[in-house]
Amino acid sequence: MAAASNTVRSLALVAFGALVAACDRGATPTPPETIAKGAPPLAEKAFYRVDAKPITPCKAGATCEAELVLTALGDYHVNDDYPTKFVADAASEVAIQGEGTFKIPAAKQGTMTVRFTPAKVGPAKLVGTFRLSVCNEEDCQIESPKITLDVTSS
Amino acid sequence: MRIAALVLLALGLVTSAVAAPATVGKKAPDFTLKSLDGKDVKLSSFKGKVVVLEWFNPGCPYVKKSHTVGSLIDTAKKHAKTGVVWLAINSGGAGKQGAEPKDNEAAVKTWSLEHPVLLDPSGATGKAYGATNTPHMFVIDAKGTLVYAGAIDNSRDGERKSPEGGTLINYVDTALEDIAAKRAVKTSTTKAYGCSVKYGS
Repeated sequence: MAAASNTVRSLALVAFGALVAACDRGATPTPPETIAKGAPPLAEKAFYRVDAKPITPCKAGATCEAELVLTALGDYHVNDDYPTKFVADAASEVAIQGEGTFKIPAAKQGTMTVRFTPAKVGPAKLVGTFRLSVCNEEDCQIESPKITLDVTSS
Repeated sequence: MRIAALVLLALGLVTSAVAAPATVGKKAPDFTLKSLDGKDVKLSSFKGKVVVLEWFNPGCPYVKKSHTVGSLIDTAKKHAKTGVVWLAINSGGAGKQGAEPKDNEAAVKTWSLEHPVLLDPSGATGKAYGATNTPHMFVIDAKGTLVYAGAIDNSRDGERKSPEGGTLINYVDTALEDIAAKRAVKTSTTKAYGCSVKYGS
């Protein structure tokens, strides 16, 4: 009797664990591991979020790179048919070159590499509009969040 | 057994013949659809005129962009002045995004559309044309031949801000220019972009 009870309890725990895992897979916005844990997203809605990878040390006058990570949430995926780009804003304190390079390493994730040149030593703001799109089976969303990134050059 | 297989094969051939979508260079499939005000609109009644079909869904972000900042702003009005007939067709099934008549009526008002929006809730006309996206454009010449099928333009953001090759091309404008100049439509097919057509089944 006790053995049967233990078996039932074990099965219930396994089922509960599987349920939790299944729920986690669908809805939790999981930023890539390279992004600092607990860092707030640069932009976020129910169907996407944008995070920044840490910027490698950068020298004034040199060409530096910032990498933004677009994560499609829920049942959405990154729209590979959309001309995703990063458009420099007049408020940017660093010169941004071009409109970024966008790659889609996984259906639910895209990386935008933004090249910029800080004019002087010290902290500055990189500002631009990330023009992106994510879709699910039913719908496509087109979004243009304004992104502000703190960069420091030596 | 063999007879049954032959019957099934024949049925399959008939089905695929019916289901084959419209082809550029061939006669455009005829249709009769109801407009938002309940009138029957029959494609063949426009014989002798150039007709543009625009697959439409007012809830689709690409359609919204195209009609507010993109290549569909006033394009229909511009061509209406030269006698071109412009018909928007919504093939959304019941309950699907943008399929409700009231949503289409609101869009007509908001975007000041002067051409009719036709409802195709069964999706039969959309499938007959192979419409996959909103917007998806089709141009039919005065002889009733389909001469263009594809995107409205080469800026796949729907906003005219990202033209491929750096120069914006409105494919419907260029097709209509070619027709007016009595020459073959140079770019007759392109890949449509936008939302998927929200067919009911």
